[in-house]
Amino acid sequence: MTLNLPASDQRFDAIVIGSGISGGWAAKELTEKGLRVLLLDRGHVVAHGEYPTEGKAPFELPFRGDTPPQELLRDHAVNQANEESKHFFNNDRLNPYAREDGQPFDWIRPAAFGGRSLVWGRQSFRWSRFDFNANAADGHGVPWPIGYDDLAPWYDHVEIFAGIAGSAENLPELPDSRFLPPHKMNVAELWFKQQVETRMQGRRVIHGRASNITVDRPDQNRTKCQNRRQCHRGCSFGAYFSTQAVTLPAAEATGRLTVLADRVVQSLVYDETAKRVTGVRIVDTQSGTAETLTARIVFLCASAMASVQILMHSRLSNGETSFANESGMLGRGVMDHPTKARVTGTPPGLDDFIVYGQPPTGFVVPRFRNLGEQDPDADFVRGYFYHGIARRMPSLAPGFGAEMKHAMRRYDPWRVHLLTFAECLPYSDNRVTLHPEKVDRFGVPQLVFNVAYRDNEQKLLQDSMVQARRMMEAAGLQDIQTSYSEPTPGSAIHEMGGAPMGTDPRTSVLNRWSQAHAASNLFVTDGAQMNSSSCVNPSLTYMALTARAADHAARQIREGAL
Amino acid sequence: MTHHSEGFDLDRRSALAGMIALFGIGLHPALARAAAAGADPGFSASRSLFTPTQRNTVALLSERIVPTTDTPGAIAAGVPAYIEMMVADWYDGEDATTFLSDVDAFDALANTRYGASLERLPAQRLDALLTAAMEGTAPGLSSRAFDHLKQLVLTGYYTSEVGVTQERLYVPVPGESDGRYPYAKAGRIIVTNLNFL
Ligand SMILES: Cc1cc2nc3c(=O)[nH]c(=O)nc-3n(C[C@H](O)[C@H](O)[C@H](O)COP(=O)(O)OP(=O)(O)OC[C@H]3O[C@@H](n4cnc5c(N)ncnc54)[C@H](O)[C@@H]3O)c2cc1C
Repeated sequence: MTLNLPASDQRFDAIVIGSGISGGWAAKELTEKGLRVLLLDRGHVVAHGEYPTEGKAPFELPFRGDTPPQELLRDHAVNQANEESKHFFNNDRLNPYAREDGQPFDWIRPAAFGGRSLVWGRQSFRWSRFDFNANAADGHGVPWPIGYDDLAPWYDHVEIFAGIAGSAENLPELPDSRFLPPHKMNVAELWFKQQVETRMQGRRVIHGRASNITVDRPDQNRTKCQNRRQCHRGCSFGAYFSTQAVTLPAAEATGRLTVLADRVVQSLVYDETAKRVTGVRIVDTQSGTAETLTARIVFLCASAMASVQILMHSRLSNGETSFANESGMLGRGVMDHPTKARVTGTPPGLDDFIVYGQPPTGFVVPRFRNLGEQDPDADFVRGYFYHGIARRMPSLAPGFGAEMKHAMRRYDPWRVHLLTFAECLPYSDNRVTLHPEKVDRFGVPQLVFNVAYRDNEQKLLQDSMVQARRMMEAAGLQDIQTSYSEPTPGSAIHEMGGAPMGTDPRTSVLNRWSQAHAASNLFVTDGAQMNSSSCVNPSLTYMALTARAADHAARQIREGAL
Repeated sequence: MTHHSEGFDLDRRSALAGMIALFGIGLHPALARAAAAGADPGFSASRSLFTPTQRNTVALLSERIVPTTDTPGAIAAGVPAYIEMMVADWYDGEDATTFLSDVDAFDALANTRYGASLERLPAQRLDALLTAAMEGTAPGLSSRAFDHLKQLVLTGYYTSEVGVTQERLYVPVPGESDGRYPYAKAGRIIVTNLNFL
């Protein structure tokens, strides 16, 4: 890694803000297209392979995997990070948001270079035609200015490089990726799949889709997944997609990348006459030194809410309004995925088997509600899907003594779990704003969240529990149980929206190339640009949108338009 | 953990929380609090809390709950020190007081029933005391004394090196996954990461 060069001495074609999933892709694509790129992140450096807790047994961690309670309350009150990966999670005390001043929202942020690519759950799905058509079809939110076909080649592009393991299913509601062979289902998952698919017409139980590779990739210096299931600690095998393992080495290989860690971006400098971003104001988080960097183009990839915050704080000469908020839409339409509805049951007759080696994914049940047209029995729009897994827990034996101890060597029966992830509508008054007084230690006004789930989200969750129970009953599971707790927005960590893309600058912040209407040399390619949420995990779509925007930016530079 | 993103956040669950999941309802409130807060199941208390007699009683009872069999028991696994740490650093005043008074009550019971201090009792008499505690027929003990002691012993034992590597089968780098592995081949719980699954 090229580190801590005096940045202002250099000339860059592009500055990429944020080195997470989106920013890593921006750096790779832009450098590979010949641009000299500066990649900035507020996080501290974590070099690939230098993952502090990787491979450690419980008794090799001072606190056996837990963060001491005093520290947890003090520094990780929001993200609740444990000892295994707390060094990758934000210090919620040092870097607060105005949590008490809005509605409850869990904003779960990273602390290290590479962002949340180090700790993410790696579930990777394409969005479908239904998703891109949703806003236009039912009138909620700004219609997407692009369709599935615009993004499909870019999905191909990022999937081939990132490596997504999954099974081709040819389902319009969950389009196939360019897959590596899937991770294996266990005996109970296979049983559940077979039962559901033979007994419930049209209902599918398919392999999870994970960015953990199932074949070695010596060209990328990556080794296939070892089934350790400790991805969130970092993987020196490079088995899962992270900035460190995948996009950063590619960008560095071009010789055109400069990296600056420990640099927080406060705001962008905007030239109102030229309608361009002319600088990036940064502060060195260690020394406190501030400076303004310049480049021809800027890719804002600080993650959805952080990018919106930077945009809001990038003001016109009146000192009041953001240059990017002509539409009034900046900060509006914030979404996450309602979850926390779970149904479980026990498959009969599989007690002789257990799992050896923990694969990095379970299974999924693709969306089946309101596909293309409204289901007659649905009093809600859009849909949900389930993440699922079947597993056995160690038994808790009654009594004490040798007999109990040896009975504790057995497992409880299998449990099949279905956990809902539902789509959240893009309500324009689900929004973030800047606090009028509270600033963080870099002088940036703190974000206030006013985001709430509403009737449609509640109905989706309720329906998902009814349907999951039906599936389990049809499959012949026993001891079926439902659990539900009110989801706090943000807690699914799929927060998105706030700078929607659209064709009309009066109702959107970005155009169809993720390019700001107000500044053609600014691209916002993370979750901020989303104007609907689908129900599937979003990050693969950020990757594809980022690669597409980078291609467009490079082409415009070549054509002299930027 | 307050959030689930991948679906099943096995990944971010800690050893203690994993143990807690086993106990389900009926968990000692202090242990539940510790798990919710991300308790430290490390084995060194910040202050010494037990009297020598109490320390001894806790050790003897722990070893009867998880005895040495074909694998080491609670004492070899460092469970008594773990319990002292939990009671000293985690239990709030009231819970700690109850715990200490239960420990003292075990001692008192040894004296009234058998006319000897607890440390002089043979194993089957210790077991008889524990059985009485379990069945709620031991005078002077709080109603859930046995359950709470057992929870502490099990949590400490199964997060220890002995618990992970000797009592259970520790497979940190499985390489492949076999989702149809015959239990009979392992005969144990396989631990691959902190979640012991
Ligand atoms: C535990 C967990 C599980 C998840 N599971 C999944 C999953 O299975 N599938 C899925 O699709 N998604 C999942 N997600 C969500 C996923 O991590 C995010 O969608 C994704 O990382 C977003 O990418 P990003 O590049 O926009 O943001 P990030 O990855 O968060 O990166 C943003 C970067 O910008 C930097 N930054 C922020 N503000 C500034 C600033 N002012 N100046 C300089 N730098 C700044 C940050 O330090 C960070 O490195 C999960 C997240 C978590 C935490």
